[in-house]
Amino acid sequence: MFSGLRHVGNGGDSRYLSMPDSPFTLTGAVVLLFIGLLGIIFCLALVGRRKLTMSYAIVWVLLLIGMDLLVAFPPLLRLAMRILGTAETLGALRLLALVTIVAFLIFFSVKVSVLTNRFEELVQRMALVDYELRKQISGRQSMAGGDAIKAQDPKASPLSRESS
Amino acid sequence: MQKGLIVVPAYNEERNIDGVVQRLRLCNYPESVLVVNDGSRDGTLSVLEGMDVSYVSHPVNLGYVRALQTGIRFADEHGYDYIVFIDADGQHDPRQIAELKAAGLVLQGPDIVIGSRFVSERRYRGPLGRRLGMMLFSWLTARLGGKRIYDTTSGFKLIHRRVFAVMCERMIGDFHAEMIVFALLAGLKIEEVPIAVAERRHGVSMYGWLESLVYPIKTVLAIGVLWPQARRERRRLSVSQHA
Repeated sequence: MFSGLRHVGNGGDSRYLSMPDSPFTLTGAVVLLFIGLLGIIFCLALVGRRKLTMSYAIVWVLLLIGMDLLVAFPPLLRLAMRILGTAETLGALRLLALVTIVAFLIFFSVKVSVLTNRFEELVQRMALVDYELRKQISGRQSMAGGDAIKAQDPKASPLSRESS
Repeated sequence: MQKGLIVVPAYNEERNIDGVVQRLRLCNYPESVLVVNDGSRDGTLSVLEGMDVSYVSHPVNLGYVRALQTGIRFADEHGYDYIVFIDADGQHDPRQIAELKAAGLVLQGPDIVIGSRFVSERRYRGPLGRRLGMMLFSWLTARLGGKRIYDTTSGFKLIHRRVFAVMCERMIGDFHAEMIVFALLAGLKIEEVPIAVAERRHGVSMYGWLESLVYPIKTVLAIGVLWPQARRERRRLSVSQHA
């Protein structure tokens, strides 16, 4: 992804962007911009196919826009360098990438934990509702008479019957 | 007359669960029995379906503490006043439920009664690592909670309705040392009564070598998380008692 990066101090090499300390060659910048754009289109396509929810797509689209902005506007990179306290652009980019990855991992861990909790609560609720259902079925069958009881085992879980 | 529920959390206990339920029946307790099948992969559910016992069944495995939580939710929704938890591996003697009740069902009695393997004459002889871990957590309950609880990992417990909600909301570990420390710090009363345990007859423990390694770290972290919550809970409980 960052294959187009170069160290600071390009010495006015014409292959580099017009900014004197841009770490990107023109080709590298174009490739990165293209990858960013492609990424955004891919995310939106996934949303369209219901394979990615909009809330997650926004996170990725914002990240890709951020990457494209850094590539297109080298002053932003210098600002990042000053904020992060790094002496070279490559260091700033590495640090930014690391911080972003860690932030993403924490964000997704929180999301997964929330979903796990919801899932577990749903399973518990399902188990309790299944119990009530079995109780109702067995109550109805005992009222209807012995034949019904023979026809369908009231002890068996409606959920397990469904799944089997 | 208080209404009680005996909850048996079960995971892959097809060879033990029948015996445990039969032994509970032989005791003729007035409490209802509820088995919580925690998404067992063996034939536990089929065994339960063939037995005359109430059960709730998680379609997938959620873990021990979620099984206990389901039991608490069931008891809460059906108006039970207390729950006795007993393991499904047959290690606990159902006859000793009477001792838990004798200690717990008294006026101004404890909120939680723990069946303890370490305050009896016939002391539990588990693996050395486990015993060392238990000693550490027992020491922690004394240091942090102000009362030494000898058996922090016992699954044989009685809890009162007044702590159902608190316990249900705060379950983040295995309902062991972290909950004991939480309960003590929150001002709840805990007592231990001596019990004897038998060796597991069939199946394997839920704590494999990896779980045994992770367990102490998880428990210490859970204590750290529950510590400030316990202080808040203590204030809340004292306010509600005065109101």
